[in-house]
Amino acid sequence: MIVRHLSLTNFRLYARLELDLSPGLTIVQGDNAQGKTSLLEAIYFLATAHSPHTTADRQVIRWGAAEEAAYPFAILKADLLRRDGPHVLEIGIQRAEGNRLKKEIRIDHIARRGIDLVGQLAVVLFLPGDVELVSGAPALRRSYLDAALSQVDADYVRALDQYERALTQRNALLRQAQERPVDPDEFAIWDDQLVPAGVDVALRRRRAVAELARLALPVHRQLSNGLEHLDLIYQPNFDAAAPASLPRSYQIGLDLLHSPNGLNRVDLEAAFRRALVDRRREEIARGSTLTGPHRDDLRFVANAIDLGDYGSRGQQRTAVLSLKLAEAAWMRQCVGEEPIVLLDEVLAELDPNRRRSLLDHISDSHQTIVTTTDVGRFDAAFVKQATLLKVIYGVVMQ
Amino acid sequence: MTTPNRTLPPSVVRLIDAFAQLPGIGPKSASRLTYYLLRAPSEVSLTLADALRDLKTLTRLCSVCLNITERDPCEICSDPARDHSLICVVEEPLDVVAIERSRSFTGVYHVLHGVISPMNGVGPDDLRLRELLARIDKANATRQPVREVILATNPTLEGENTASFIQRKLAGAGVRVTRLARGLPVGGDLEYADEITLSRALEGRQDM
Repeated sequence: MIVRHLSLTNFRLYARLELDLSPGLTIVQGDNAQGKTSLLEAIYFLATAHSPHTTADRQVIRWGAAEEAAYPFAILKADLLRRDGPHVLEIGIQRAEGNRLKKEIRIDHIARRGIDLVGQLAVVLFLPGDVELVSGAPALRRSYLDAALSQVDADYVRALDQYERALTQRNALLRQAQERPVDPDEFAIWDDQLVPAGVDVALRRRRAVAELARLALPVHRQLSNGLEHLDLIYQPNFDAAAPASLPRSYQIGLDLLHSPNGLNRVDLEAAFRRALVDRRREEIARGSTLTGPHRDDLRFVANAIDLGDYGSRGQQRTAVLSLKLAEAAWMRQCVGEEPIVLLDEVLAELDPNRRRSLLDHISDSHQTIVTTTDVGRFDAAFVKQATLLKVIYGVVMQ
Repeated sequence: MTTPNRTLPPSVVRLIDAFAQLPGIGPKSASRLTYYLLRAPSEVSLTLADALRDLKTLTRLCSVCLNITERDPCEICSDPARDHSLICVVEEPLDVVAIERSRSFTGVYHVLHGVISPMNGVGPDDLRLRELLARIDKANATRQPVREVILATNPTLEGENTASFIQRKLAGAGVRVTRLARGLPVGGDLEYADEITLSRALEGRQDM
């Protein structure tokens, strides 16, 4: 699929933008803080209805817009070409009373719900900070999985939504239990919502990670010159077969990390339920739910070494690159079309070998948009096949 | 409260502020309502004032079903033609109005005045739940026991969970507990039904 035309109103520093995009490779050049990343962010926003920076949804409205209107708004619009024909996606964002944020989604000019965006536009976004995915907090990896799955699996979106709502209520109840006696049935009703939704979330994540791992393996082998065997492991914090916590030692027995895949939904639900009952006292003391997919993790293991703890910066960067390339292949499997690949400044960070591998993996059929401060960093042949755009403070020139 | 103009008489400001406290009414609508009343004949204001006072002085909760009423027990609870062994449990008084409009329910009601929502600080004890259980116990000790309790809370997460909580409390009470069916709206179109409603409608399909 490709985005043929992008139109932005009051998005980041773009007061107004009408931009034709070509298939294949586009290089966006510009100095820092001119709006290169915002272009990629806009396309990502159209795919997911969220900013890639999880807390920044309200900040996407152009700063100056707030002085021009009581309730400032931004509008994003993309003309898409998919295998099934042309489509139009529109998202309106408006700051409303009480500091709320209203989003309006239109697909082919008809108002739709957020969940209807799933599968409309598939993008893989690679930001310079993404290397933190390997070394940073588990919450980063969970939101990475949530964002990726939410682009392609509507059932996942529903399960996650139900899980999070039940979790919020249950946590509030745990805090109340510090102050008043709580009827066990009050816990039971939220557990009844939490457990099936939570197991659904965990199973869908586990399946996606297994697929990503399978696709990342050959990519990573090539990127590491045949030296590294990369494994991605989804680590649930409740599992009927796995021990409660895995040792994070230098050498991890791989057999220990792989819990048997024969576990079915019923076993997992029983294990989850048991953990909720067993840890109730501790949960009340802490005022929050300690078991469930909101505490799961994704681990990057290369040659039996956990890269998050013991990998070098270079190894971590290569692992993220492998993951992103696997993600592009995985999305193609899920959606049946090539996703759009958005690379922000990342090519510059790579050595020539890895840069070549990356570009080899992104086939000609992908629409790829690359940002850079300096086109001179790419070799002439690469630049020659690309469409060049120049961005100077919110104005794009072809 | 913000007031548009400092030069307005305090009595006008007071009414604007009072209107603006109501749900769904912002400062602009509040001013518009106030200026309308200023221009309208005095009867309009006086009728409104009387209605407002009566609203709080004449109404109370029915001691049986906890619906809002002017006489206790309410019309429905004191109607011998209604089936008192069939209790329909709803969240709010307006739900009684909605079900009455359907003209297909001949039993009596019980109004919870809310749903369980720990997030909003509402637990079972903040609802009129104890009254429901006491009411059923009391009826079951007589020759006219409760046959069936229909849980008609909204099909939201909180509504479902409140229903499930009541169902747990009634287990073993020897009362049949039912839940409103979920499915397609009459006059609706399959094509426009959302996935969850449609799958619930399929699960709840019936022989013809």
